Amino acid sequence: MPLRGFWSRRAIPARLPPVSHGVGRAGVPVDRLPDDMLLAGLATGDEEIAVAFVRRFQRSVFATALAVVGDRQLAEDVAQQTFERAWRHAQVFDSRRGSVRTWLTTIAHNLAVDTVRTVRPVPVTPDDLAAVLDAVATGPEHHVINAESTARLRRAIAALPPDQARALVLAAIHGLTAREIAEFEHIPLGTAKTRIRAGMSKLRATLHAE
Amino acid sequence: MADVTCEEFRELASELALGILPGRERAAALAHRDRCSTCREHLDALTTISDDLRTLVPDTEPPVGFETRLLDHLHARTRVQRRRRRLLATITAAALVIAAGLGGWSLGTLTQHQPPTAAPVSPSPRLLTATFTADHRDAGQAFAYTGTPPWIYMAVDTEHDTTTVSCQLQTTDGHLVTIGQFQLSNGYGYWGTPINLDPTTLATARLIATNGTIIATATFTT
Ligand SMILES: [Zn+2]
Repeated sequence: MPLRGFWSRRAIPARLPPVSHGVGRAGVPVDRLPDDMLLAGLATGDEEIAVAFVRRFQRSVFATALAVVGDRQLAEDVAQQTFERAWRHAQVFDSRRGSVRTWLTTIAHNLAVDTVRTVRPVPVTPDDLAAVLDAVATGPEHHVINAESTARLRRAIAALPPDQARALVLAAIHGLTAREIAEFEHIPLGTAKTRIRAGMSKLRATLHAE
Repeated sequence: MADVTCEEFRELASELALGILPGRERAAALAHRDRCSTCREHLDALTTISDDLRTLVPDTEPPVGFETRLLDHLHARTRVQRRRRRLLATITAAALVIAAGLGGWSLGTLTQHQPPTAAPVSPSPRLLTATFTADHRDAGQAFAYTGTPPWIYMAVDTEHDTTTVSCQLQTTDGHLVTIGQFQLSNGYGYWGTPINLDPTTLATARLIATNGTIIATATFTT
């Protein structure tokens, strides 16, 4: 059992170069830190880590909130709460259960849904929906790490009957209930429920089979 | 609402996973999930799909000034202590160790601009983190790396004037092992060592002064 670690205060220069300039030849600039390291680093209260974290995820978090609340001011409030929550709960993040991005967008989505739980205008128009659907099925990858699984999911969505794909985007991304989807699509409630169920089980079967 | 059967649960599972099931049905479905492992697995698979679907939403640029407002807000909330800034060096140092290739972990996550490596053979190593607390205050971070060899690394910033501390790990089955000692200077120090145990079995890491006082404790959540 080693008494001294492979690292100690003596083994490492006390003054590392400023992180924003990178940490040397083999080093990692703070904006290149892996997602979970950046998240862990938030706990230090360090400004550069916080900035890098916010810059990496703000567009995704804001988009997630906006898709549900349909109002930019409200979406900003939700995005702010999302980052605050991530900051406070960084240590409960579990990388086995998904990526930092998934964790954050789930927080943002749930906060957004809670914010508009009661009454709200439907946050999406048919034109918006078509654009989102297109982006969902064919958009660029956020990170090469998840590229393969993301690409598979996009392909699986693109392969769904369009009415099922629309139902899933309305539900998952815009947070519409089956009843709201029925109104939006001018279809009976039972049909909306069937589309959701059929779409989900097809996605599951496709992803499972690959 | 009356108890739901497995068959009825399957009818509701998609909406439950998507987070859009209305309250009453939701409560009944959740009650079933809690006692039926088959349905729970089914729901977990659907929930993963739902969560992943959400990440496909195209990015949207937030309003002008969002970043500044957010950071001001976060800083006001957390009252950054100047001395804690010192911990940054240590976090970066931990990143350095990983980047230096102590395991394959960095390869998959750092090389964002390159195609993913073809065939990951074993489950990729993970970095577990836990926050040290001392007198109910945050006092640093512990990182446990599940690669080969496994190692633990910690950075602490406490109010204690003790200079030598030993680090004691406790596993989830109650096993205690002291893995070594290191020095603090004005309550601050960082240290890492390879460990002879599976990091995923870690329950806590404790820092103990020479007089036996527990200075800080970090609890790993798994
Ligand atoms: Zn069941």
